[in-house]
Amino acid sequence: MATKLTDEQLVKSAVSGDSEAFGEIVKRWERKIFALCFGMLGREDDARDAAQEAFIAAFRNVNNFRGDAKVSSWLHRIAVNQCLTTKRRAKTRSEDFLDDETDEGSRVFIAPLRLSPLRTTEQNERLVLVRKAVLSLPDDLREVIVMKEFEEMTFQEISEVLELPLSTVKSRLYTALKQLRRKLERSPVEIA
Amino acid sequence: MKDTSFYNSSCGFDGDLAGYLYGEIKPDEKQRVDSHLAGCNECAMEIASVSAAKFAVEDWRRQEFTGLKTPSITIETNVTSSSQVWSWAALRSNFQFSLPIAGVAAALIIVGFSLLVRIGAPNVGISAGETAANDVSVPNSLPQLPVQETTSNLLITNDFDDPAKDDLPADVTSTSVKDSKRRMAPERPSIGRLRFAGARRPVVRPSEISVAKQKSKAPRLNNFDEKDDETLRLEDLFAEIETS
Repeated sequence: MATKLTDEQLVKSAVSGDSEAFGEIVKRWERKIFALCFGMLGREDDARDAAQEAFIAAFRNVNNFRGDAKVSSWLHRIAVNQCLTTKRRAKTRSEDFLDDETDEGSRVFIAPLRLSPLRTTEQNERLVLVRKAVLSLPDDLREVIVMKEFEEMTFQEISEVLELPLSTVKSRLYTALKQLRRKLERSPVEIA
Repeated sequence: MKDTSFYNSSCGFDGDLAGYLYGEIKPDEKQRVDSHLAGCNECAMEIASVSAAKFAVEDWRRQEFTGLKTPSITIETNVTSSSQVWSWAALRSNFQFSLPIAGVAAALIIVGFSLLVRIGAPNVGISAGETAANDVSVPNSLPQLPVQETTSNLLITNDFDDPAKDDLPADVTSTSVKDSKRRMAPERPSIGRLRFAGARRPVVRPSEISVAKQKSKAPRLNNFDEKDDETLRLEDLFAEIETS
């Protein structure tokens, strides 16, 4: 029954006390919000915590949801804010959260068996560089590229979620890719 | 309407290169970009390098994210939405008393109340005259007892059985007040007699109270000749109740 309702109808039900309605919203959006958090933070555990916190914050403030915005837009805004808060906290904990080389060494990469050890090492180094490059982008550019690549949203959907003109979304994405290219060109590892 | 706000290319080409990269482009626009890239080496190089960045991000996602399991989002039942924050249940959950604590609290309240009654706190704010009038245990026929003058914030009085006190006159003079002060013994404080300044209360000895009670309880039926007439007796009782 709840699966046939729109997000906005589910939120209305949640406001009136239907806890299952909010559960349906979580079910619909948890993967995308998790992907967004992963792309914004670059770590699985941080992304998991941020996604959890974002949904809790949404549940707490479900009564403040204005009907003039889409639920997807509202959820993404909460999630992006949560990611920025998490990143700030992490920076406070460690002055150089993103450039923590010792932490990178602890990551486990699963490489295809057909690749040689040398090739696997190069691939891993490249992934580290890409992640660092993406995470070092400005917030407004990063959220667009993450929505596009990780959430696999269309330009129209990103435009609706961010409440931005379609042309602005495309321009931001292209700018993000150009900045990313420059950052990666400076790195010693060959891309692709 | 054609959106010409992209101006992505270095050469100033205003085509939808972002849409072209992701395949979200109208056929006529794609044809326009294709024809431009065929003739512009600068834009062709740029779109190739931007594509490489795009594929690098895709690769990162594939390698590190695609295989990840979506975390199960659990919202604890004690997390309340904003409409439920001030509900009674939420408020009560913050104050969970155990039975022994509640019992101790009740006992403390009872002890505190009894102490207040004993030290005369309820008389605070009532004048001495009102206090005497409200004290039904002291009949008007008995001699007036001296009113203890308060000289400090906390007054400690101790009454001793003084046979001479029984002969106190009805009109209390300043001499009798002095006598009552003389009978005070501060070196023997009794917590049961502590009272606050301002609570002016007549000092009544227990023996006098018992006498007064006996007098108030004594039937006055002897004043009537017709002892068997119940009507008269009832009327007299009602009158006595009213006067008391």
